[in-house]
Amino acid sequence: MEERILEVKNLCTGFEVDGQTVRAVDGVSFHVDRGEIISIVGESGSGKSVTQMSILQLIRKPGRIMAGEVLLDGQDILKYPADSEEMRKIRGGRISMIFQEPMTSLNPVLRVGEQIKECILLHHKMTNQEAEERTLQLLRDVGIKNEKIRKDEYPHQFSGGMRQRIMIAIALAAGADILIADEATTALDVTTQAQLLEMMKELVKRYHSSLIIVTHNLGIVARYAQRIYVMYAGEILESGDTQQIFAHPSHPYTRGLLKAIPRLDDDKERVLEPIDGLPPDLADKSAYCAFEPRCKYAGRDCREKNKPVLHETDKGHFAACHLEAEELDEAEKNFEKRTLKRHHHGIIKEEKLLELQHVTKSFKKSGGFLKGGGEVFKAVDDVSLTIKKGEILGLVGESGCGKSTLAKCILKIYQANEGKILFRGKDIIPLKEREMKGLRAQISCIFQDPFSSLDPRQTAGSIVGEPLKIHKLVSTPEAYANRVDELFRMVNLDPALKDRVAHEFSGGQRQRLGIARALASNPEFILCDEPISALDVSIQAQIINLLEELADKLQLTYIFIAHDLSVVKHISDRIAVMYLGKIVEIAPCEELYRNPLHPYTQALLSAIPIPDPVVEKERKTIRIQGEVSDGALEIRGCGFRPRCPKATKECEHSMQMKEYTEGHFVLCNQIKKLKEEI
Amino acid sequence: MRKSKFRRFMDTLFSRKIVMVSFVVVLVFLVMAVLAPLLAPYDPYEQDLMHTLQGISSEHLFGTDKYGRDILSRIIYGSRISLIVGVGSVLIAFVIGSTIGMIIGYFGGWLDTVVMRITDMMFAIPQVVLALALAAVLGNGLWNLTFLMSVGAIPGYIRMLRGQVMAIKEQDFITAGRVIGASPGRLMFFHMLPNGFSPILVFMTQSVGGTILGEAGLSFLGLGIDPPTATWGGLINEGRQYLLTNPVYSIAPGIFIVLLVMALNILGDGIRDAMDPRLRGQH
Repeated sequence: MEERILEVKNLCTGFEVDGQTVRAVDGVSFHVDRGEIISIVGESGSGKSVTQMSILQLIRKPGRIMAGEVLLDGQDILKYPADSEEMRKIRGGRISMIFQEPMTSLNPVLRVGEQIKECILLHHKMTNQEAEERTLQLLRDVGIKNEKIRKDEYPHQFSGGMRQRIMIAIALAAGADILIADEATTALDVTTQAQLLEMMKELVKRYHSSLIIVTHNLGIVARYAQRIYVMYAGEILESGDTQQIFAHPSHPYTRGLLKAIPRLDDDKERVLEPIDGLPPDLADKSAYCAFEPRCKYAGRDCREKNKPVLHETDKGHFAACHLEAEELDEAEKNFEKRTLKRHHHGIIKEEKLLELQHVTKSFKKSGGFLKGGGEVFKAVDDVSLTIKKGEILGLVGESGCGKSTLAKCILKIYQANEGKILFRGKDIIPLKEREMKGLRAQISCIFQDPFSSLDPRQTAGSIVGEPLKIHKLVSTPEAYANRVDELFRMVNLDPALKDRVAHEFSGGQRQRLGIARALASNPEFILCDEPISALDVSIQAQIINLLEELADKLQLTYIFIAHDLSVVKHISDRIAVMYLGKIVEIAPCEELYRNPLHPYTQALLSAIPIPDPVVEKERKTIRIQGEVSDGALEIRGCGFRPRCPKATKECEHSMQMKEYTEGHFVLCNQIKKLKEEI
Repeated sequence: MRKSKFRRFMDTLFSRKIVMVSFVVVLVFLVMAVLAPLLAPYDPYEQDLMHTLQGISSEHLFGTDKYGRDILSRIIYGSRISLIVGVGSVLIAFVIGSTIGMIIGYFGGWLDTVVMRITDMMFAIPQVVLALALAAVLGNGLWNLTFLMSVGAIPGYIRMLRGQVMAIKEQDFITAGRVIGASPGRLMFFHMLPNGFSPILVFMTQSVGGTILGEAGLSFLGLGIDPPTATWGGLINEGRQYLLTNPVYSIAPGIFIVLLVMALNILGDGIRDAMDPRLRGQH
């Protein structure tokens, strides 16, 4: 057996809130062996981060580690005081942590090389010269080129992905043998995420250390982890070998999650089955199973018996549930099959609802004092699109590709510089705000962030009802109240909650309010700007299904923006992929997944992990290097050229959209070669 | 649920005893101003030349002035002037300043630049000097005084609201408002003002105290409201000549000013702390 390097036993961490103790971590036990990659999976509030912070004793007041043991090489490190010499040696020296926010976890006024060197010198006796060499070695290890020059640069001169690489270098600097990546890649683009995880895996192998991946993303888990712990409400509900858990999930929560998340390899007709309800309020946890209120499998036992404890269901596979696998399978047979799925073909009309012709939006980079006009960069570069009435177009691209700028041009938040945006045949770009007002009722938007997009000072009812007032859609106070109630019901919210203010709702509920507001003026067209990317995985499916249902019922047309190709698959009729302000590929949904032509689309698809270790093993991977270069600074020809594995001289010439099969357009000069490959 | 939030605010506000006391003091002064005719033991304008410049006695708690008028009654009536000028000028400054501030913050551009330079100029002139100059031009009635005290405060409100609006307008819910077709006026008054109001409320509470001091100062200099109207500053000024023989004449109104202004400042601090408990203890 491999050496057991870290073992956590029955860890409890609580926070004092309003005089009572909220147990954020409630009896968690897990272990890591040397050379192993394990993963702790859970949604926000499940206690997965607090668990890791407790291991390093980084919990601050009002938090407190209440019980448990953390054995590092068999030694309980919780018995050292948090500020002790021993603990400081362990942090960074033995166990290192990489946080989610690469923007804030580096010191902005110190050169990155200094920051790495600081960590080396803190833990090892070395001469400056030796530390310097080790720094360069580390930078090379994490894949930073030109390390001799770049070590003297400041954090702001690096992109998000690069900064995260530097964080990893710091984490490795003192030779820590346990690396905790706490949602370390969540804020990054999918292609960057894939590069980083791949690199960490490589490093763990090379240094024979261990990696704990803390994430909510089951795809990452399936691709990288050897063992998994599933957390919910501060407890571990299921643990075991990755293959086992994905093949035979034994806890209803794990089963539910796997049914709720969209997968890249899904059949388009698959219906997502959301987990109903909301995560529990940790302040009043019941004595029985924490998942019971949301559990579809739950029987009478679950409400009567005490909290189920983790027990072995199979060799090395543990679950905390009263029900046996057979009982779960039996219950599953009786579930009502949701058959609702769009009847696409009947709905899409021939009529063009929205047409973009050569839309371009450029921004001036401010040149600074006395420098005069700065450079111009095109955030949206000559985009043409047509959306028919009733159609759902998925618009996909990584951050900085211009998808949000394009959305804002359509909403006339930004004024496009060139081109035409025709809504029902009428160009909206030259319209004054006054002339636009009538159209505002017909064009709605759902925003990404359910927290900042609702006015914190208004009640839910007045947020939803505001469009009714603005467009004078109702004449009497009763009609207003009735319509607001109706809108609440449409998005499955209880109208009784009308008088609450936005912050009293959960993220998912707030997004429903956002949807209700968007629907209030009876729009024809809704721009969904990443409406689910800020939500928990178990909630995402609820919102996707709701949007799909509404599109069907109210004959709506959507542009559905996402940064992830797996999400848009379920809902879209057609998908457009954007890169550096240009649409590089557009095709009917299934066609795009079956025959991705553009090298960028291929890379994007390959970067998204599928939450199934069996499928993951079979996939061939296309890796691309680098990151979206900041700003399309007039690269001649194809913007993807610097990262493209297939680039040739030809790519420096200007490009034209070419039709490959009916409705499948690609912007690439290598199209002949691409065709031949297929 | 909203009530409970208000409740929580009140609980935090009054968790410090001194804030509680200040609140009570302010309340007492308000009641005093409103009910002056009922509370004052004498008519503040009735002269009694037989009993001038008396000291403390059971008939006249703070004695009488040089015309034999009851000083306590004059102080009680004087609180009306102080509060009208204090609250009134703050309200005027708030309405004018915040409207201008919101408009320039929202639209920006050349208008913003012009207005900001004007406020810079106004900041350069000391408030008292500005008030003196205006008093000379406008004359010195109650409403003139209220207005001229507000002028000096307007630039402050312009700046505050402009800053608030510039931060708030970048948030998604304002974009959301634009997308549903809300007019700039609606966005400013329904969405931005309520969200940016907390710091302004604190500022307003504290500047009522400052304005009362300013008004007393002007009255003391003889530029406030003409006698025989009773004002605190005027009383101190009158009593100045008798400071050695009859100190209560000046000291009594002085104590009232100190009490009210201190109470208002502490209350303002308390409101700020209650709105953002993280600021607790920083003064």
